[in-house]
Amino acid sequence: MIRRLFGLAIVLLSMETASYAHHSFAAEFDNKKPVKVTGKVVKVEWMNPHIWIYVDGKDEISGRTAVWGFSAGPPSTLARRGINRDFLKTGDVVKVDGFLAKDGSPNGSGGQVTFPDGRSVFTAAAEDAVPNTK
Amino acid sequence: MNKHIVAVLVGIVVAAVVMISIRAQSKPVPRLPNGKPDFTGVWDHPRVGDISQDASGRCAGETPGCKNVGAGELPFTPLGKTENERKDKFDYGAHCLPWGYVRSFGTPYPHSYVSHPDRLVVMWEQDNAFHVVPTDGRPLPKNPEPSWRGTSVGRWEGDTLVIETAGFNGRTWLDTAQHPHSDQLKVTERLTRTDYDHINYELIMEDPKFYSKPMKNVRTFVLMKPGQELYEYSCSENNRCEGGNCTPADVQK
Repeated sequence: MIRRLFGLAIVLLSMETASYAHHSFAAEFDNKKPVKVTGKVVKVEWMNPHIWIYVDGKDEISGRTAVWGFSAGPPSTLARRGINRDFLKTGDVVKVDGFLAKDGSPNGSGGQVTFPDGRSVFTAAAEDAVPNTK
Repeated sequence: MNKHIVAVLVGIVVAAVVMISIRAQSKPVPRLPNGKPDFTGVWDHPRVGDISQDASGRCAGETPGCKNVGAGELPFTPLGKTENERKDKFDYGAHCLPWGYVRSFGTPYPHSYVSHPDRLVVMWEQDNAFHVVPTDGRPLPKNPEPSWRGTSVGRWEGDTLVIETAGFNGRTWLDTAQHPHSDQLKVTERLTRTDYDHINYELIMEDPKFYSKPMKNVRTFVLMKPGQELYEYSCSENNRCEGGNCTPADVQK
């Protein structure tokens, strides 16, 4: 019972925060369409207003293979969390948990980056929907 | 005998630690040459995505201790209600236009003040924008040119700086929840540096065209640690999914 209530609270919280995202998360991404893409990093854009990570790989939920683009937090927000541009390099193999772009293109909001050694970095913008990484 | 000496020494050490911590807590509010409080510093504010709601916890820039007491249910006029419920609102922020005055103090990024006896300069990390508040006694212009962040003047009531701002272009929102305001908006802020690390920030929003009575937020700003500065921000640099349409990057073509 408590676990259900807790789950409900998390869901409601994620819906609430998603609607107030900085770059209109709700307008650009669909928090009901999670993606879990594993592949090789082909490009990192450490730029405003959000960094972008490009991963050549496969989404384990839809089976779709593409060069996926993931929007994450702004450089300043990540810097204040102790994350700088060195955390990810071209050629790294990663799994990215996020949410699909509303236009259906192979883009998404990239909330969590996990490395093969199990290291995981929370990369979402402050108010993006938080992916379930299980 | 030795036990007594040890007890006395421990007592002295404890007393010294207590005195030092009390002194640290009571670090005085810095003053300008005219004796008024100096607000200069990088301040972390609460992320206020909705002015009607309370907020507490970590500030926009991750500093603990921020707070907002929200306005509660918003008193829309019929015109304001119609505007608020429009489905075709233009998301100006997503298109990298200025966030506007009120909304800039609730962004996911901190802001800075630079105090001078005759002016207060506001610098927001959001949009990397600045705003000058003259505090030299001049009145608010009667018919200022409409602008994204309005025209301000400040005056002192004791140690509280009262800032009045008007002359808005009516193209911005009060918050990211898209609560509208008209060109009749008038904003009154009351800043009190309650101690070295905190500003009590009262925000009154009056807009008789869209709201039937004034709305109020009360916020706590927290001074960021020494060495923490504002970062560069450039909205249009890589705004790839503007309006929900993602343009392919070179590696995706």
